[in-house]
This record gives sequence, C-alpha cells and structure tokens, in this order.
Amino acid sequence: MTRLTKIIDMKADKYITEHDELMLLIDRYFDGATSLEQERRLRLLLAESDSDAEAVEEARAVLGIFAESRRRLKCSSSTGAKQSIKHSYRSPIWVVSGIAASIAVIIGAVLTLTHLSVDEMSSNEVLTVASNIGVAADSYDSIAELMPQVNQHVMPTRRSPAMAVGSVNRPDNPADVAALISSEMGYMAEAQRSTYESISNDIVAITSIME
Amino acid sequence: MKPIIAFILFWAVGAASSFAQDGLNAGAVFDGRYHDEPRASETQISGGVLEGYNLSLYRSITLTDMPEAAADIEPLVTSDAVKAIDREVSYRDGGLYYGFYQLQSVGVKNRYLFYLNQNRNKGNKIILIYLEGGASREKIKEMLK
Repeated sequence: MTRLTKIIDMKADKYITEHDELMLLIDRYFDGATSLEQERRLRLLLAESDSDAEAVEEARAVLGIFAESRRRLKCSSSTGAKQSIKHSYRSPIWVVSGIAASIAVIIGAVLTLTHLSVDEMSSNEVLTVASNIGVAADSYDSIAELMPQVNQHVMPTRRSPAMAVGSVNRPDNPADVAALISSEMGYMAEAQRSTYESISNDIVAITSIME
Repeated sequence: MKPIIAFILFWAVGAASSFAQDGLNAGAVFDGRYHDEPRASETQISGGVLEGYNLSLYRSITLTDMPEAAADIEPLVTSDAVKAIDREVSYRDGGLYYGFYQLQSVGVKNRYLFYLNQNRNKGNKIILIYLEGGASREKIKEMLK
C-alpha cells in the first residue's frame, strides 16, 4: 500500500503516489529543473524507495552513496539484521592536532636517531646514540631495540645483550665500578696534585724573585 | 589531546637530555674509533651503580703508549673548554697536560670533562673522562681525593 503524498506541483495541486513523485523529481533533476527543496525530497525518496527501476538506479548513482547507504540500512533493518553505520564526525581541530602531533613525533624520532639511518651507522655509532637514548629514558630496552641482533655476548641478565657490542667495558657490579672509577680518577687526582704543586712552586719562585 | 601533548612533552625532555653528550666535540673520541685498538680501553657506566656518585653517565677512554693520539684528542678538548663555565688546567712540555672542565649544563644534568696526557710528565697514558649527572663540582672534586 503506497502512501499518498501531497506534493505541490509547480503548476497545479495533485495527489500522486510516492513512486510517481520520485519519477517526476528524477525527470526534473536530470532536466536541471529542481529546486534545493525538491532535490532534498528526491534524495529522501531515493533512500526510502525499494524500486529497482533503471531511472531510479541511475539517479541513485548520480546522487551518491549516501542515498544508497540509507537504502541498504533500511533493507537490512527490514530483514531484522542490525547494521550500524558509524558516522564518526571529527572536529577539524582534532584532525589538525592529530596530524601535527604525528609529524612532531616523526620529526623527533628522526632527530633523536640522528640524520643517518641505523643501517648507515656503524654498530658502535648506533651504540653511542642508543646508549644516550637509553640513559635519557633510564631504560635499557630502547638500546636493545636499536641494536641489530648480532654480535651478542653473554651479559648479566639485568642488561640488554645489545650493550655488549664492541670493546667497551660496561661493569655493572658496584665493586667493579668503584674500583674502575677509583683507578681512573686516581690518575686525575695525581695530575691535580702535580698541578697544584707546580702552582705552589711557581708562587714560591715568584715570591723569592720579588724579594 | 592531553595524552598526546603529555607524550610529546616527555619525549622532548628525553630527546634534549639525549643530546647532552652529542653536543660535545670531545664526544667524538667515544665514537668507536679506538674500539679496534688493543692499546685502548673504553668504559661506559650508567644506571643505578652511579647513584652513589650522583651521576647518570660515566664514560672514559684510556690510551696507553699512544702519545700520537693527543694530536687528535687535544683539539677536541680545548674546543669544548672554550665554553666551560669552570676549569683547572695545566700545560707542560708545550701542550695540555691536565684539564678539568665543568661544562654548561643541559637541563638538570651537570657535565664534566677530565683530560690527562701523562706523556707530558714522564707517563704513558692519555685519559679522557666524561661525567654527566646531578653531582656538584664539589662532589666531583671529592672523587679525586
């Protein structure tokens, strides 16, 4: 049973079926004689109509997927199946912010890893960069992520195997660390004492000259 | 939006910290050029074992019986020394013998550089030490005692 719809014909008042109205509006649309209100009405009728007439299908194709989607939604609803069409509208501000944040992260990642690709750097260069990242992040996982999985040596479990690449000593035993720092700083201490001694000798010499 | 901003800010701080050593000319000494040299010994320490020293990074390289290496290392050290905010230096035999430099801080990290060329004082080692962390100058000088 078709619903009787009253439309206002341009020339006279007539009661016609929705299908007739649809066909009339299609003709007028392709003649370029439809107003905005009539075009809206046409889209609505196309979305609600089940007609497979050639003219109707052609109008659907020209007017876009929107009308087609709504028709399919109506069909699926009538069969009992629920289809949800996600209409996610995102504010332009969110879109721009997301794009800007993504660009910033990418640029930062590139700068952090230097301008060279990891493949172009030697393993030791990567180690140097990676160690800096790891130290900054207070994490050894970032170092493991950057290092290629080759030349892995046996390492204490607390550290990433990747940190063993190259001939760099990496003591993590507090006693070993203390011993190493004491040894190396001991050389510096001796040099400092020698320097102070030289300064003192110079002052004594200058004083004696002035006297 | 707030999580994204927070992530970018945290990353930026981390990235800035990671450049603390990269901005040094002397950092080039640790680029691996001496890794295949049997007379060289390089050490890197970071993490919790340095907490007692209030440091986050300790890097050193010792070159034994390589006096010619001073020609490469000294210019790097002296170029960094120009920007040092504090220094103790000693020149002998026409060149830099000992240098202790407190470099400009990066963020909350203080940076220090030690250089020693024993070849100028009857020795045979060249030692370069880079320290990074929250330790004050006085704390670092205590390490020399």
